[in-house]
Order: sequence, then C-alpha cells, then structure tokens
Amino acid sequence: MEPNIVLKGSLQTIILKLLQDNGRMYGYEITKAVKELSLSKIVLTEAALYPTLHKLLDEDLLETTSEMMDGRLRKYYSLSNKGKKDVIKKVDVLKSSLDAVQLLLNNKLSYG
Amino acid sequence: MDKVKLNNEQLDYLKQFIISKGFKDHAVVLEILDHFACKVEEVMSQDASITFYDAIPLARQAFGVKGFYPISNALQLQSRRKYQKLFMHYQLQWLKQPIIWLVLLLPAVATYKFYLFCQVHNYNHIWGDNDCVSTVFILSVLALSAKFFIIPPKLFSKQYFLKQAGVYNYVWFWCICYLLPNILAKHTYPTIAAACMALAVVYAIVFALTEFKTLQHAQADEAAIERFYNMG
Repeated sequence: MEPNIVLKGSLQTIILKLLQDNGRMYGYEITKAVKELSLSKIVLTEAALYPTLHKLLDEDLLETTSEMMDGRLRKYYSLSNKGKKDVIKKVDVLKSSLDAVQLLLNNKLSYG
Repeated sequence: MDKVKLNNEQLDYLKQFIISKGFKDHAVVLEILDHFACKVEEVMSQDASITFYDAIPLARQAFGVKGFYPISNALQLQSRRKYQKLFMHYQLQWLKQPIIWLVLLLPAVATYKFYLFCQVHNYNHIWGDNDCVSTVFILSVLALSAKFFIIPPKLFSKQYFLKQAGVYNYVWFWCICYLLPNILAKHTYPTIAAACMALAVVYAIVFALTEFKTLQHAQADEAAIERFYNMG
C-alpha cells in the first residue's frame, strides 16, 4: 500500500481535524497521532508536515503559541477562528470525496 | 509518552549538531530542536541499550534524505510571507490616514507654483533644462531620504527581514514617479508633473513609515526568539 498518495491531498484536512479534536498540538505530537490513529498505515514525514503547517498558518487557519517545555521551546499549533469555521467544511468535502472513491472502487467499472 | 527526557547538556549538544549541519538562524534551530529532541527521546525510549550519541544519527535518519531542510525552507517561506503581509497591512493602514492625503497638497502646490514661476521668468539653471526639473530632482531626493529621518539607525540592521519579504522590488514605482515628472516638466505639463511629484512624495513617506512599523515588528520577533534561544 502507498498511503502517501492518499495522504498528499488530504493532509491539511487531517491536521485541521486533529487540532479540532485535541485543541492544541506540537509538530512531533501530530506525526505521532497520525501514525497511531492510522495503525501505522500512514506515516507523516517532517518534510510533509512542516510545509503544510506553515501553509495553514499563512492562510490564517492556524495560530501558534510558544512555551518552554523540558528545557526547549515548543511551538503549539491550534485552530484560529477562521480555521474553526473551515474545518467542518473541509472534513465534509474529504468525506464525500472518499465516499465517491469507495463507490467507484466497490462497483464494477463497466461504464460505457 | 516517552520515558527518556533529555537534559540541558544533551539539548545543547543537539543545538550544536543542528548548527553544524548549516542551520545557523536561531529561529530555524529552535524550530528543529524540539522535534529532533522528541525523536532522540523516542529512539532512546524504544531501546534502553541505545546511548544518546547513538540515537542522534538514528533520529536524524527519520527526517528523511533531505534532513532538516524541509523544516528550514518551510519556516523561511512562511516568514517571508508573514512580513510581506505585514508590510501590505501597515501600508494600507497609513494610506487610509486622511493626514497622508493632506500632505499631498504640499508637494503638488510647491512643484506647480515653482514650475510656473520658472516658466514666466524663463529661468535656466545648471541643474537641468529649467529650475522646475531641479525642484523635482531635489524633492525626489528629499522624499527618498524620508526613511532616514523616520527609521531609527538601530532598526536598519533588521532590513534583511524586508529584503527577505521582497518588498524592495518597487523599482518600477520609483521610475514612474521620478522620471515621469521630470519628463513632463520638460515638456510643459505642470499640472500632471505636480500631481505625479505629489504622489511620489506621499508614497515615499508612506513607504518609510511602513518600513518603520514592519521593522519594529521584526525586531520584537527577533528579540523573542533570542530570549527563547538563550533560555534553553
């Protein structure tokens, strides 16, 4: 299985949903959560995570707070007001897209 | 959660390790450090026989073939966009101030009146074709140097924030605003030349004020990063 193909287009929504459920999270925590919740089927790399987080910050969907934790600076990401509104819409869009793909895959592709 | 927690010495070692890989910007080091430290702790917690020094290359491997570069690039890109946005925000804020538009009248009237005066008295001057062109030139220089009066010298060292944000690419604007009035003045269009000059002066002032506000913001950001960097 190549989970990254599925992950690529839905990474923003996955991160937004995680933050909606957990309030605030830091980078490493997000990668761990994705790995654990997907039963290790999806591995979110740092190379994919950070550009996505920064893109979401850029779109004002996220906001950050920094705290000293265990002797180092930890940056927590949480949903902004705009992000809180957008997450519901984005999750719905992803769910309906996945349902559509499921329909296609579960039926015999004999159209035409 | 992971059982192993790195101590301050180990964190300092990781900091130096990141710097040795070519990431010298303190904001980038801080961005990488926590994630990297978490990875090292994870590796050490999974196998108690792995020492701190053995865990470092293993943790770094987990970042993939590009290592820390994607994190560093993402941060720099976001920082550039952030200052670009801030610059535009402050610029709009200043342009909405009525006083800024009142300032328009001063260079406009000055250029227009002086142009007519020079025309009537047929003044010629060593500066250019006539004294109006000289006035336009002097006003341009004054407008461009507005930033040296508005921005305190200590903030100039932070200008790389603006360079990074690409807000220095306004060459087209200066060309239009300074060359056009000169050309128009030469070809006896005093009203349009004066309007262009006034716009140029006002925009130069807005630009300097915007630079000042953005650099102040950058300075505060940098001070916060330095505080955290030295704390760890």
